[in-house]
Amino acid sequence: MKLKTHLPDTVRSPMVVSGFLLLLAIILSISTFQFTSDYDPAIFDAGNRFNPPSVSNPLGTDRYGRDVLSQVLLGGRITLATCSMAMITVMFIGITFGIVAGYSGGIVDRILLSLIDVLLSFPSTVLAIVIAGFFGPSLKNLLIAVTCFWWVRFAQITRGMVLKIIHEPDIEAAVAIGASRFTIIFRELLPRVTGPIIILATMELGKLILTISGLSFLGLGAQPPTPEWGALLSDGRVYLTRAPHLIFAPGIAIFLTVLSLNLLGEGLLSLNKGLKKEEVELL
Amino acid sequence: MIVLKLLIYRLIRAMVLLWIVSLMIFTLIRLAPGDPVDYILGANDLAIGDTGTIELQKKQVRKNLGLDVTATQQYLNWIKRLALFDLGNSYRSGKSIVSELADRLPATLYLAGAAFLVQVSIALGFGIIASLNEDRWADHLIRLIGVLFVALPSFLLGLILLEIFAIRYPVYDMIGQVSFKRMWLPALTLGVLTSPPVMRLIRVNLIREYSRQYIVFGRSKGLGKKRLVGIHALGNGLLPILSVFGVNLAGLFSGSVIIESIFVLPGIGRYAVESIFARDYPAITGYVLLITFIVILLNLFVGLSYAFIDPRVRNTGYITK
Amino acid sequence: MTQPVLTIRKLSIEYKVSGKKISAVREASFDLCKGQTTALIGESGSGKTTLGRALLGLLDGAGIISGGSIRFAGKSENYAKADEKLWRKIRGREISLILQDPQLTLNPLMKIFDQMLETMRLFSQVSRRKAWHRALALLETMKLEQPQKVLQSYPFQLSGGMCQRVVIAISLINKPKILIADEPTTALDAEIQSGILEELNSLRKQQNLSLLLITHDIDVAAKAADRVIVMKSGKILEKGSTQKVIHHPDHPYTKSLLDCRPCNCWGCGFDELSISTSRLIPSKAYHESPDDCLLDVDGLSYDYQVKGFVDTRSVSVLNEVSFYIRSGEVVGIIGSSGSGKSTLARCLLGLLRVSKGRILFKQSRISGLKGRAFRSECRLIQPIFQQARGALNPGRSIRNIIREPLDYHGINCKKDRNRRVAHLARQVGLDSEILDRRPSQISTGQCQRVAIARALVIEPELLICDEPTSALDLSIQAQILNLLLSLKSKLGFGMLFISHDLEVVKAICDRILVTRNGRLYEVPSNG
Repeated sequence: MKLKTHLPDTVRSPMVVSGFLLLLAIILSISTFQFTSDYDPAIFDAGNRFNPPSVSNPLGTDRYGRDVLSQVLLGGRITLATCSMAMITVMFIGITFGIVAGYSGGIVDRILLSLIDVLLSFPSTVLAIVIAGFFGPSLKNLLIAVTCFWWVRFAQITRGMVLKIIHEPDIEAAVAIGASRFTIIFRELLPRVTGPIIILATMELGKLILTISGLSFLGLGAQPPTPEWGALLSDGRVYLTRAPHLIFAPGIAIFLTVLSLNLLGEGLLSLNKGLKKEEVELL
Repeated sequence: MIVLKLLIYRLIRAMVLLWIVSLMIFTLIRLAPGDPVDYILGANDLAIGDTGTIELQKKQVRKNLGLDVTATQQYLNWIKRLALFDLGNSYRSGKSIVSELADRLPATLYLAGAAFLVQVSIALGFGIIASLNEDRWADHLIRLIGVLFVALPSFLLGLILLEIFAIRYPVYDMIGQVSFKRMWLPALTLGVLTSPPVMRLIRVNLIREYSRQYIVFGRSKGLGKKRLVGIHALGNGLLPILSVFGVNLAGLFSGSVIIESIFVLPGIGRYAVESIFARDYPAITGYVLLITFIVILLNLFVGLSYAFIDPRVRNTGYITK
Repeated sequence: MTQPVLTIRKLSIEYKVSGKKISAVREASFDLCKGQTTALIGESGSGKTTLGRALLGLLDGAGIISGGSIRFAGKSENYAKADEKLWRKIRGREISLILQDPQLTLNPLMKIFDQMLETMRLFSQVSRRKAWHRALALLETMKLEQPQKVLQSYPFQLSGGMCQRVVIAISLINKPKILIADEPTTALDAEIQSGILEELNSLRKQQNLSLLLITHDIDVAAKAADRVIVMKSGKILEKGSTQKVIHHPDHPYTKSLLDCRPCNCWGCGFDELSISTSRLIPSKAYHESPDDCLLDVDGLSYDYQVKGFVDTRSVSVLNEVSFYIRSGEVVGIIGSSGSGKSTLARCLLGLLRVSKGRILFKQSRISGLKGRAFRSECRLIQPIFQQARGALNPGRSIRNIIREPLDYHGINCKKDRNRRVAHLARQVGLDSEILDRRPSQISTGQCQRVAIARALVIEPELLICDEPTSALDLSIQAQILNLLLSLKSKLGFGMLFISHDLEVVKAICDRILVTRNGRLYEVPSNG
């Protein structure tokens, strides 16, 4: 990938460095945390309800006396894992359709364009509400709903990139020399498209986390007792005055995660020459 | 002439879109798990008696709901009722959904409209400042603040603001009718949080315009910065993102769901969420159709607005010569 | 010599690109005199546009005047150090600018009158009605027909020539003493060009203007200027009266510029590009093709689709083009940019799908073929492009690049392929050690040799060369052309050679065709 040639620039960019370090810290703490008996998120302890942050419970306890820190960390596992999976799926579908539509044009392209027209004019929340509304609110349904329309954005961006790349002189030369479609797609287009798309996906992942946790907050996604961040926040909102740590802990967790992804994505985007910012933002 | 053609073309497109979406929604209703008849009987506590009576009751309800005919016939009947603005009655309250939605619409309209104003004015102001200071500290600062705000969950900010302005220093009125006093805080929250992407878009577009020949020529004539930026660059720079404004406004209509529920506003978003919990299918359908209608209307409006704003489109139908 | 109105001394301009400083203009010194036309000649990238913009303080963000002085007659300040406030006092009133593409120079969303009105209101209070009458009078002096209609038009409703007249009128509204004209005719049709130049000339006389004409076209300079300045890589190489510079140039670069012109002698009147269309013979459809015909193109059309708000419009780029190439023959196609010559090459190479007509290669039809069938039929047509480096995949070694056609068409085993690559590299004059490098590690001339080797590795019968030398330096151009010719006589392939440069085409082609406005013409033999 292009990362190697960008390395000096990458290290110099404060956005990329801070985003990367923040994300690394979040992933490390989420994945290495051991849920020992003291920190079992499922344990019920009536004597320790609404404890403020202390040494034994660094982020305090909730209304059932459960440790908030371990809940938030477990929630992070769920949120990050599911959202990343959804994002990878979305990216895969999007790149495939985008390349096929952009390179071969024709009927696939026309179908994609009309899908873009229909799906992108609808706010993502509405589509999620439709699915949750008809098939019942659950994290699984929410993820399915999100995957169903989110790929269109990636397809649209990939298609735009492909339409540009195929006019680059070395690709035109390859076509004129007699390279097959297979060669063009897999040896020329795919490597050039994936780098920028991955960068874009880091920013989109942030957006996805916000959407999922927002809808879970409303009760349309993860259901209790799943400690998804949005659901945790929704759980704690009633006790805002009594125990503010209940909403601040998951809230700040979401904020930091999305922030790190955005910093990383934005920093990389401004370094990457393959994807012009204005093009991305027009989408 | 072109304007008329464009109007017809856009209207046809809108109709087709409406038709496709109606088909999709109808399919979803049919695919949805569970039998609506059970909900109705359950909700109204009609199901008393032995199985035979229940079956009879079910049949009766099915007939009342028009579910005893073929799917195509059902779709046609449904469309017919839609055309007469009949969305059926809510399972929960038994009242007409059209009137329920109409009661809830003003709050959402107010919120989305006000948030849109906030969003656009913030985006314009900071976008212009950032574009004029490209790659200088002011630009970087604005960009950083933008990144911070984009990462801020609206429900967290909403809860904090509510705590501050409604409970600690009660300057915001949590109760009451749709009015400025009731709406300023939610509108501000929603507008501020959604402004960074728009701002960056405006910034990029303006920077691109600044290098255009007509700006160089304008400067060579002796025009001042205010006129060049405010009239020449802004006019041309905003044209390509008109459609983005349309999509954004649509996004605010539905993105207001979270804000509506935090600030307990009587809007259609909260109505939709309540309906989902109550499995009130006609109400959910009504909400989705209303949003669809608004989105399509906005699309139509944006598509036509190009013809009114851009003389090239108005006269030739093309932006390039 | 009359009094100078603008004196420039040792002016240096730098650009800051990602922290590094790049010098754009180095110690330029010259005067602009009252009532005279001075031409500033240079190729693109010579710094002439930067210099012109600097005279109005219009360098964009990254450009900085690093030294020297700009002094206007009657003003004490050194404008090389002026800030925006100081510049604004003289822009439009002392000095004004017109630019290359007149349609882009005007705000597309504003009516002509409003654009004139805002200019008039800059320095004085004018009522709308008064301004209207003044605008009318101005457009009349610019010889614009139906000035009232023009005033109420938007820029897109006017032709390029009309727009340029409007632009000139606007730039002269506040009576500047100096007018900088940056390639004022380059974007216009040949017939309109001379009209605009004449107009500028008569205005100069009427208003005693000092005109700085920035151009790449030495003919334009020779026709219109009193004095000429020649610029290359940011340096002024030569300056003096037109008479002297054009007829007795001192600097070798000026000589080479003069030699590069389509015709070597001044005023001999023959130049294929400026020949009037009526004298050219249209290439006939359904012509009799000879027996040894390698490529036979019949009635080829290509339309470009533009999507609008209401419908889709097709713009004709190539219109009923017919010609043939015999085997071993070199056919030249010459035309100005936008005449459709590159589109023709791209149609022949299968990069664009033709809208109408047929292409026969060795008697079998290749137009309309797709995928594998096209690739196997057209294996023996190979391309050479203008962008020498760009046409090579930056991530692959030279060896792999040259081997590409063999790989794509699955010819020979890998060992034989590499042997063949080495052989061809020798033939095009590339050292064997270069084969392991990447395109970014070799020179542009070497890149074009690689492209030639790649095109020839499969032993093609027809080479399609789209401006293969126009991106190269003059000395390398000759080397590449000689290489192509010697390879051609050795290997006997046919060639379609596309160029905008008549001299080059004349040197290597057996027959010459001309493209103009999407049509193909033969040059009358009587010249």
